[in-house]
This record gives sequence, structure tokens and C-alpha cells, in this order.
Amino acid sequence: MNPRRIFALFKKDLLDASRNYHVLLLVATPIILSLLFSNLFSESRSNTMMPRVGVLAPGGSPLLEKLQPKEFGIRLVSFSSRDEMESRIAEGDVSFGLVLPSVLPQASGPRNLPKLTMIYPVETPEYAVERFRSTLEGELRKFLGKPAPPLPIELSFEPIGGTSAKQRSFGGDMLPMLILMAMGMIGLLALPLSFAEERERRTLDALFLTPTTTTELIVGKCLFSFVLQHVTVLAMVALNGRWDGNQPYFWLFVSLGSLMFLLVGLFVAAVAETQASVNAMGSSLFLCFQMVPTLSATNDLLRMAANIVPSTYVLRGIRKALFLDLSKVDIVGDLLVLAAVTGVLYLMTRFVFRRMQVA
Amino acid sequence: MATNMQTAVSVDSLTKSFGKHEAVKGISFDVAAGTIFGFLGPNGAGKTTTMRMITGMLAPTSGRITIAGLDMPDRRDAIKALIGVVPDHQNLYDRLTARRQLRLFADLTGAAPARVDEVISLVGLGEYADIPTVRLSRGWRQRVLIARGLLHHPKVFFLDEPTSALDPQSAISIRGVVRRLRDEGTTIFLTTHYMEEASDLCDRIAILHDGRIVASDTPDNIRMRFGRPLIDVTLRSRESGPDKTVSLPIGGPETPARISGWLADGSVVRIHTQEATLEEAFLRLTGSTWHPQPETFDDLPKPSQAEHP
Repeated sequence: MNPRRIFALFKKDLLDASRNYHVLLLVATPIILSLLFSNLFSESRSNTMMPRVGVLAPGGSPLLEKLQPKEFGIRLVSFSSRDEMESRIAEGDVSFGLVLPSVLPQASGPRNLPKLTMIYPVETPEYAVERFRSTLEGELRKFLGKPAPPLPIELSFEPIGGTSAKQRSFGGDMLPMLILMAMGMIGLLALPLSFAEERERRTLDALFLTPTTTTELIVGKCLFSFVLQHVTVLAMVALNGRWDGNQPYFWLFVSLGSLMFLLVGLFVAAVAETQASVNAMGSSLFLCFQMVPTLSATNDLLRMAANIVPSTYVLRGIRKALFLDLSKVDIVGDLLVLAAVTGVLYLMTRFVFRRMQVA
Repeated sequence: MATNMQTAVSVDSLTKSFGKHEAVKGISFDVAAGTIFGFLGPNGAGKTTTMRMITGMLAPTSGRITIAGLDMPDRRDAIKALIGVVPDHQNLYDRLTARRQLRLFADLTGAAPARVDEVISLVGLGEYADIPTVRLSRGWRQRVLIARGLLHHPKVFFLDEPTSALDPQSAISIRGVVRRLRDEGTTIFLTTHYMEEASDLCDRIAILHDGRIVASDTPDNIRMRFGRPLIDVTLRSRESGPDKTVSLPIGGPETPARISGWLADGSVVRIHTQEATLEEAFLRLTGSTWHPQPETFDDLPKPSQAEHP
């Protein structure tokens, strides 16, 4: 590989892209959307739905059998440790957590009141916590046969999770999704489109009449797209003032995620010969990579499907790095999965391009 | 690097098949160094396919190609440094200026940055070098392609239909550049279906028809061997329309009788002889029913005053 030729191709793509309104649009869209969401929705709150509630019942609790999830409109997920449950709450996988008492209240009096602790993310709106509290209290009264106060169980409420509530505003929640969108648009659309355009205009013929090799061409183009992805994300972070969170982890996920998208984009470039077919194939993949992880919290099927979509780990990693206390959530696992997937994609891409060169 | 520049290009028993269709059928020819070699044929005859095989853009089905004594494709990388190519398609980066593109290709080929200004001057791009190529006319874009192909001082320069669909002024200018390159010692491999251009420029030509070479010689020899001299007779119109010119082959069996008849009824305005043309030879070699297929509307032949019997 000749660095001078790679840099020449990088520079060419940079100059060409700066005059290509398709690429400019792909870059500007997520930046503008991130600003729009930050400014329009900064005060609003989400997470009013409570589809999954974690339950921790050390040694088993008689209350566990009596809780009627259907009447709450919730589903229960059992945990064996408080740390695990808190981690899942912080990641947004479970909306609330309940630490149930191991014994039922005795008739002996208020001194030995068993304690039921409810854990919730710090950004949960107060009215949602209150609503859940009153529903839970009603259920407990019904079960314990105590329609009038006082309740023979001590209810305790503990907020946990992100570094600050402000970060988890609706606008803030959108940022990781929009960052994923920026990386995906450049990797899955801009990169293969640039190959298809060269193929259609037959400028590839001209490049291959020079000493340029296929590897140099691919590296030059990927390098440009990789830089473009990072510049776009940097602009989004800077314009939205999101310099908090764990920046090293954040950029690690951005880099690995960008690489993963570029490798998938190279597959698209290898298969789709024209710009029209890149648009069809790249857009479908983009939607899949964007929608599945984004909507995974809404549906069990999507939640399962998200595990096999590599962008899920990018989105999770970025969310955790930006908003969560990393001592309470597992970010290394996501990083390892993403690194492994990227490595496999790299080997597959190499294999495909070698086969194509031989052919 | 030991190279044989006496024969710049040597092609031996070259074939190319696309599925069941055999586009090039075992052609052989040599191009002497420092000459202009014309590769003629109607569209679809296999000219561009042959050129793409010689320049390493397309793998042959069988046969041998050597450039300056180096085998293609075994020595492809070394050959790339020796050849320049102007394709039939104007494959430019439209959004970039000519100068930017030439700088890019100078970087890719290892040419000195100063060479960019040299080639711009050589093809006469002038101030057009700093305009995005999408805004240039076809003739100026063709000059950019030629400049790009010349950046690394190629020993053999391939031009595929370089004047196709150009205005006469641009075509003349490009022919001037080609002549100058030949005079400086560059070997030129030119494909065209313009007989006048081939006759005017080429030291030798090969006529390709249906994937086979049907003649290979100097333009003069081919004209003399296969062409026929003509007599042009301009006849006065019997109605109020314009006069009409009829071309008859000298020595043709009906020629004397027809001319005598027109002379007798007083309809002859003038008569003059015309030498055998390469076009005439081409038509005889490739089939008299053939006419070049225009690639664009600009390429359509102008209405001819002459009528061939």
C-alpha cells in the first residue's frame, strides 16, 4: 500500500464530497435533527410507559405470588441480585424495580414493618412514580385486607441511574439515536454510493490504469468516510454541548461503530453495481440497523431481533457512555460483542473482495 | 527494465468471447514504435474490446499481448507506467476542476506536480483548467482526458474515438496534439470510424470487421488496393429543384453509357474525377451495406451532395 496514493484518493473524495449535495445532505440531516430535538424537546419527559418491572425477592416472598401484573399493566422480570436489577434499570431495559420483603406483616404492630423498596430511574417523571405508588398500595391493601391506613408495609422509593436528570431528557435520549443515524447514513449509503458513482461514470477504469491497487482505493475511500463520520458526530456533540459522560468510551463506540457500518457498506458496494441499487439496498439495511435497536424496548420480538443486529451494541454503548454511571452498568460486554462482530465483518469483507479480484 | 521499443505493441491470435458471442476472433498485428496506428471498424466490430484487452482493462479469452516487449497481464504494473489511455467514454470527476483532477492523477502516477501545468499547456486548456469539468463542452473535456493520459510521459498512447461527436475545430485541434506527440516519439494507437481522420493521421491502419482484421497496411496502400476512383457528374435538374451530383466508378460497366446519355440530352453541368478514398475501400472491405452507427445526434452524418450508384 502506498500512503501517498491513499492520501490522494482521500483528498479527491473530500473535494468531491464538498461539492456533492447528496453527501452534504447525508451529513447535515442528523446534525440538524439533533439540534431540533435538543431545543424543541429539552423539557419534556418520556418513559411514562411501564411495560417491564424487575422484581427482587431474596429467599422468595409471599408477595411475589400475589402481585397481579396484568392488573398493573406490567410484566415482571425476576432478578437474583440488586446490582443486576439496578444495572438493567439504568440501561433502560426494565422500567422499575421492586425489592420485596421476605415476610408478610405480622399482627404484632408497626415496629416490625416489612419493607418494600421501589427502585426507579432518576429521570422518571414524578407523576409516573406517584401513579405506580398508588396502584401498588391499592394492590397491597387488597391483598393484606387493610383498606384503611396505615399500610402495614413500609414503602420506600429510591431513584437510581444516570449522572443527571437533565441528560435523560427526551431531546437527550434522541442524541444517541441520531449519532447512530449519522454513522449509518455515511457508512451504508455515502460510501457505497461513491463506489457506484465511480463505476457508473467509469472513473474506476481511469484509477485502475494508474498504479493504484484495489486495496488502496478501498482504504482511501473508507478513510474519508471514517473521518466524515467522526467529524459529523463531533459536530453533533459540540453543537448540543454533550461533553459530559465517559468520553473515551463514547469515542471508542463511535469508532468501532463507524468501522462496522463501513464494512457493511463495503458489502453493499460489492453487490450493488448502480446508484439505484445502492439506494435500494443501503436504505433497507439502514432502516433495519436504525429501527431495530431504537424500537427494541417496545416489543419482545424486536428485543430478541436487536441482539443479532450489530448496531444495537453501538447504540447501547453510546447511551451508556453518555448518560449512565458506568460503575453500575456493563459497557465492556457491549464493546466486546461489537469488536467481535466488526472483526468477523472485516474478515468476510476481505474474503469477498479477494474473490471478486480473482474473478 | 529491458523493453523492446522497436515494436511498441504486438498482438498475437487474440480472442475474446462474451458467453457464446465471440467479439474478437483471433486477431494479430504489430505496431511499430513512434508511429500512429489506426484501428478502424464500424461500431460493434470489436475495436474498444481489443483496446481494453491491450490496456489490461479486460482479460482476453486467449492470445498474447506484449507492450514494449512486456507481457500483458503478467507485467501489468510495469506496462501501466508505459501507457496512457483516452477512453471512448468521458470518465471525468465532473465536480472537480481539470487542474484538481490532473493533480490527483499526478499523485497517483507519481508524476511531478509541475507536469500538471505542462500538460495543461500542451493540450491548450488555458483558463478552462480551473472550471469544474461538468461545465466544459465535450471538446474541452476531451482535452482534459488527453492531458490526464499524458501526465506520466507514456511511451504508447491509446486513444479510443478521440474526436467522436466533437465540433470540427476541436477535432482539428486534437489531431494536432496527436501529430505533435508522434513527432516527439510517442507511439499512438488510435481507434476511430472516421475514415478521413485515419487517412489524415495514421502511418498504418488495420480494418476490423466482425471481430476479424480484414486489411492491414498504410492508408495509401489500402486505398489503392481496395478503393475505386470515381467520376462525379453534376446533373441539371429537370424541374425547379437543385442540381444533383452522381458518383460513378471509373471503369464501371455502365459508366460510359450513362455519361454518354446525360451528355446527349444536355443535362450535364460539370464532370470531375475523384481519387479512390479510404471510405470507399472501407465499404468494400466491410460490406457495402454498412454505414457507421451514430453514437449521438451530433454524430449524424451531414446530408451528402453525392449519391453513390
